[in-house]
Amino acid sequence: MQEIQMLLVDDEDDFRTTLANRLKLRKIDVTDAASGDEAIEMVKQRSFDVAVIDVKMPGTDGIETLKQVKKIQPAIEIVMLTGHASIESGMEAMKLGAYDYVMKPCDIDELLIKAGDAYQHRLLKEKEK
Amino acid sequence: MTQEKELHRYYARLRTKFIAIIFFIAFIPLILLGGTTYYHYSATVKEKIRKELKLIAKNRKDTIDLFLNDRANSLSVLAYTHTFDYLGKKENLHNVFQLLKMVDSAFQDMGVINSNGKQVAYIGPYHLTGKQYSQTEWFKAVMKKNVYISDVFLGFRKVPHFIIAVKRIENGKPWILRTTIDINMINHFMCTALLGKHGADAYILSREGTYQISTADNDLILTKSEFKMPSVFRGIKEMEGCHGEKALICAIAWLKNNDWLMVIEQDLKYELSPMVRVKNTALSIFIISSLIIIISTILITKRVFARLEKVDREKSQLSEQLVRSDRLAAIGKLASGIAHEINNPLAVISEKAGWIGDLLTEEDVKNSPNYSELIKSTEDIKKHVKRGKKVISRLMGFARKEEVVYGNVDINSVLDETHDFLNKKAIYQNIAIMKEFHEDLPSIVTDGAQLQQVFINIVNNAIDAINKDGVIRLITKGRDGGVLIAIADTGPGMPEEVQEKIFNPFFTTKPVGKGTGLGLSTSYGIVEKLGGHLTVESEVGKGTTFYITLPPSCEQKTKG
Repeated sequence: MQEIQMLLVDDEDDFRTTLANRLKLRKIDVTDAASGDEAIEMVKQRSFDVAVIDVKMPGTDGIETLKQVKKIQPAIEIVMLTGHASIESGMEAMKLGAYDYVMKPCDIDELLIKAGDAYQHRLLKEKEK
Repeated sequence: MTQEKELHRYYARLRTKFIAIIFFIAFIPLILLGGTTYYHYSATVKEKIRKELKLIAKNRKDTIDLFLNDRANSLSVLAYTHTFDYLGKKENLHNVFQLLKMVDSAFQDMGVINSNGKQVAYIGPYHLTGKQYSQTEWFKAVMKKNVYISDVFLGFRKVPHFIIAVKRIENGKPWILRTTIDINMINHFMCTALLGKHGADAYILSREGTYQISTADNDLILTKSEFKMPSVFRGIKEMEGCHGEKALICAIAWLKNNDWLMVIEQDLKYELSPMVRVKNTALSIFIISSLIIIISTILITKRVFARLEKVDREKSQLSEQLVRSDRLAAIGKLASGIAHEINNPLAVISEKAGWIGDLLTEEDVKNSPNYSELIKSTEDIKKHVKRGKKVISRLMGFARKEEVVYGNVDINSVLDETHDFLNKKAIYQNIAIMKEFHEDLPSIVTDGAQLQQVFINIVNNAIDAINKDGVIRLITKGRDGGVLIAIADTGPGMPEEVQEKIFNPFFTTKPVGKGTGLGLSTSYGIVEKLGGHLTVESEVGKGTTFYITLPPSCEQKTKG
């Protein structure tokens, strides 16, 4: 299976770098961004299969980043990381085009499954075209 | 609860005070009115009696004085128109006496007494000729005074009578013409005065206080009276006093040159009988109106105060609820803030532990003797992060405003699900969950999923409370178009202090790590949000029952 090209966006450095390391260990090509603006810049430069974006960030927040990224790369699949232990922000993100959401602190396996599903979804859509 | 009892006591005290004040205000004018009316009326009546008595007394005094003067004058005329020698002869005296008697029946007899006190001639019913009077008081008095009217005395005849004597000096020698006056004449004057008056009495006393004449009882004559003799005065006097048990008003007057005291007395008991009637009528009116006042006051205040107390109780319950929901909202805000702040570090810890776990799978560490310990530690960290996450998740669940999803809900089937969901756990602890459902329960418009959460919470608590061996009853009933759900357990029950706190967030009686203390506060929030009420009844040693009432439809309330 081809490696998933993933963009990981989270302002919490310790969390982001560690998660990135663990994902890399599980054969995922992870690029990380520390803020929404940084992520938008990266999306402008290259394409990704899946973006994992934290909802709650200073400056450009997760929802705004989601909108911008989707604008630049409509095909990208997005999984939201939500700090809220509620469905609300996840639901909102899904309305705005996110594929799924994972609650923080997240189980890495759950994230992997959802990211994988998102990737499959993207592949399916590409095939349909 | 104690607060309610206190409220009740407060209202009872207030009511008593209120009733007392109303009685005070109502009775004072009543008593004043009755009292003054009675007083004035009785004063008027007494005044009338007094005037009447005074008039009678004046009238009688004049009559008696005139009567006595007339008799004395008649006698004087006789004495001065006839000589001692002429009248000293019995036939002549007889003729004169007969003549006198024809015009005046008051004269009973007549005698002529010489200067030595010997009665030389006598005409009358007794045999008194030749009697010696020189030692009698009246003889001594008439010798000094010329005209004398005696007090009543027995004399030789031993019958009460009084006499009028006139002295004439003829050729330097005094002689006396004497006559006896019928006391019944005077008695008659007095009796006619009292005609038709009940309880009235009239009598004449001598200066020494002995009875001269009495209308009431002739035996009293010449006995000593208890009447306190007043000093001499002119005209008529009136007095009010008591004689034995009788209340009397009397009019008194001095007669016969202040020798005799005439007393006309009236027993007030008779004269005041209309007064007594007025008094009785007034008293019965007073009693009836008092009863009306008392009964109406008590009834009205009872009703008003019951209403007031009810309103107050409802108000305090409402404010209790408001305070509780305010507190819940504040705690919710705080909780969500804390949850956010803790969530991120928890995420980092979780990832770091995961990373360590990942790294440990690399070969060089695998051979380390502590490898298994390290793996276990990372697993433990992950496990406890999950626990923390659960707490935060519930905190958020408590804090968030979850949208209510309405639907037609059959409460019985929701409880069926609850039963199925928890029955295994219950059986394991030898607890029977009994369904006592009302079969034709109306389906209500509410959020079934959130209610399910409430039921699971409460039943779970019940299972934990019973611990082993017991019964949990799920009861449903229709109530005002809505539904009443009771969840009763046979657990140990709760003291009042615990009951008051169970709906507070973070209050728990479960061991650390087992309960978050959010279950019931969340349930409370949900039920209130659905327009219902969640209440608890518990008795230590008997068990606990939770009551949930739900309206037929909660939409209106949440929309408002």
